[in-house]
Amino acid sequence: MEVVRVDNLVKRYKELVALDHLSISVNKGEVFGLLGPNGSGKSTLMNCILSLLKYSKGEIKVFGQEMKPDSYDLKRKIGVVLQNVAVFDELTVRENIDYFCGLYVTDKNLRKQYVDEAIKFVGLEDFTKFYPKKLSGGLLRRLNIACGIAHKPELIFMDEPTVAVDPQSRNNILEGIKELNRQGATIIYTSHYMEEVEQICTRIAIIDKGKTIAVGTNDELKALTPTSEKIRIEILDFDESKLPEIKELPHVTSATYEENHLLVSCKGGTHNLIRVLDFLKNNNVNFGRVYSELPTLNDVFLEITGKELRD
Amino acid sequence: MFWHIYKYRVKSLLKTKMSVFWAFIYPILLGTLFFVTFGSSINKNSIETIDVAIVKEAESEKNDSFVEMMEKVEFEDGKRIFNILNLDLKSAEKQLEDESIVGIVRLGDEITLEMGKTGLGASILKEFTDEYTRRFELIEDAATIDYTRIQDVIEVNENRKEYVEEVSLGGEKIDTEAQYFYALIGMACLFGSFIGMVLGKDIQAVNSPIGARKTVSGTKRLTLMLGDLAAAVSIHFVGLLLVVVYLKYILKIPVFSQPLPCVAVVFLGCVMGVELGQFASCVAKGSEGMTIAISLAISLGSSALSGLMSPDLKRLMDRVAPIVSRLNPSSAIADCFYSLSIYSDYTRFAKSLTILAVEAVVLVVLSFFAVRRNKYVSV
Ligand SMILES: Nc1ncnc2c1ncn2[C@@H]1O[C@H](COP(=O)(O)OP(=O)(O)O)[C@@H](O)[C@H]1O
Ligand SMILES: [Mg+2]
Repeated sequence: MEVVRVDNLVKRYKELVALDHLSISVNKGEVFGLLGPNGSGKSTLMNCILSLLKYSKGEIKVFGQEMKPDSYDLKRKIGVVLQNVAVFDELTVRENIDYFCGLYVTDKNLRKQYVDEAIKFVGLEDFTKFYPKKLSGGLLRRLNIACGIAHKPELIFMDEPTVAVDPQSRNNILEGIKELNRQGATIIYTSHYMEEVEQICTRIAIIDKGKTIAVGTNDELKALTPTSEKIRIEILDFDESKLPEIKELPHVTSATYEENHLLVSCKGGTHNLIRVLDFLKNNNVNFGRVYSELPTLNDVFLEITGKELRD
Repeated sequence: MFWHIYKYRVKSLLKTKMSVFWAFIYPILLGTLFFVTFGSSINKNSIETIDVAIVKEAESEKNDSFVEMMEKVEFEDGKRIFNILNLDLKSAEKQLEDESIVGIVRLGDEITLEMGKTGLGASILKEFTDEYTRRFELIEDAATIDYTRIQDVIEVNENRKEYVEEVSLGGEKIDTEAQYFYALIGMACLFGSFIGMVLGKDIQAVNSPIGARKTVSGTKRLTLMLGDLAAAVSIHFVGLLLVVVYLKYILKIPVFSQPLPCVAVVFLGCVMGVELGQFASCVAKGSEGMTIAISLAISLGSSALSGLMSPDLKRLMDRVAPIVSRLNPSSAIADCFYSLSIYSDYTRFAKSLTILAVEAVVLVVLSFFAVRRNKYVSV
């Protein structure tokens, strides 16, 4: 079932075209990742879907209905964790969660239960009486998340919830998102960290300059690159005349030697690394450390746009 | 939902420095400042015995009981209101010229008054004489005059005159210090706009992340707005009530002789002030500087025009632009107080109070529409 559908969305900020005929479709039960460099339009897209921003053209449907500022019934099914932390400095951790949860859930007992669960969920049990100012960056982000999801929404939007977060909190957050998904929530997640998106998203849209440049599962996206495996081997004084022979090996697409490293790219096949190492042994080449890397979403991005995902 | 929003807004406002300052600390400072500047003179003037010359020109029961009454009436603290000097007309007029007496009462077939400079004493004497004459004519028989009732009248008069230094006999010119005082209370009310600003900032997605979060929550804007408004007004109101208690019972400045109507004025003033701030920040669309500028301009401007900076400005406004002057919330607040304490004119009080109430409601409606119009973060 389609939960969110965006068709040919165009959003201009005066001269700047932030979203350029962008379309996505998110199904129930997915953790849908929006991956793109800073400024690619992820937040803009999210804010348009949430009816926080007016857009110039296109259509947005949430749960099959048009989303408008007054779509209160739709909004009640949604949880939002925006890029900027939105909590009251004058209220404690618990009070903040209770306040925002109370905008959705009026039953007091149910709300108490939900708030307790949210606190446990983000691991802030020891900090319930803390004021936001006293929380570290990571804990503050966790509070921000708890405020957005305490009411157990069916659909959750998260805009870069892990920015400037320590590794421990980051793991806590990512695991939490997976857990929310297991409990049945559909999640739309934006990030410019490809590792995160790879780790938790079931489907990913890669966005650049306001356009979707590729959509698919992790594996589908990686299939778009000419490389499926990159092998890097440390060799001192390699005889470069052997490069053509290496290129002749099965599944090898390229082979180069730079700065004491032999770089071999492969596409498809199995045991590529062993085959290369065998070749070296047979030719009496001494080698040092060996690295084998699978392609990343960065490679996908590089392949399609000709630039690195990260600046 | 409403109470949920209300409860947490009260909590958070009580912990916000800006709102605590404007709601509690600022009015207390103001009250103290006022007391230091004007307080002593107010108290002194209210309890001075009035020197009056009596010139007997005819004997009658009416005249005798008048003198008897004058000797009898006292201020609340037991001091006699009038000090009577029995003089002949000539020396009485001489004394009046020297300003050693406030007025001359000539007891002939009629009771007539001659007075010199206007002032509190003169007004009390005039009120007293008028009241006596009125009553006497009503009852027609001196023997049946109910002195206690006249005593009551005097007391009421005394109450409503006691802060007034310079009331002219028609009651039209208003004493300068009282005018300052009421304008200051009006200003304290309007400075509630600094509390309202906090609300406005939080309600719109355009203004803050919290605003965005509320906007996506699916809670109706009106509920969010009214819950916040009620909380801010409660706090501001309690703050001002504390100030009133502080002025009246600790500094013992004689204010608010009619507590209930005064409290109603203060309440509406609070609503006005808070709503002003909320409205300003709705209109300013998140720009804090702009919000502060608008709030300050309106609250200070309206206080200035209501006579805070100079009573002449208010008189000028009354003459040049009477409508603006009437609609000016700060003037309306001050006018409510004058009507109560100085004129005892309830019709006028009701009018000013209605103006205030209508303005408050209009502001609420306007800010609601402003928020509605900004339902998108416009860029
Ligand atoms: N309020 C705004 N006014 C003008 N331009 C904006 C505004 N918000 C974002 N932009 C621009 O729109 C583009 C997309 O921004 P954004 O959606 O925030 O990207 P992302 O979230 O992917 O980092 C950027 O070029 C950014 O500079
Ligand atoms: Mg962003």
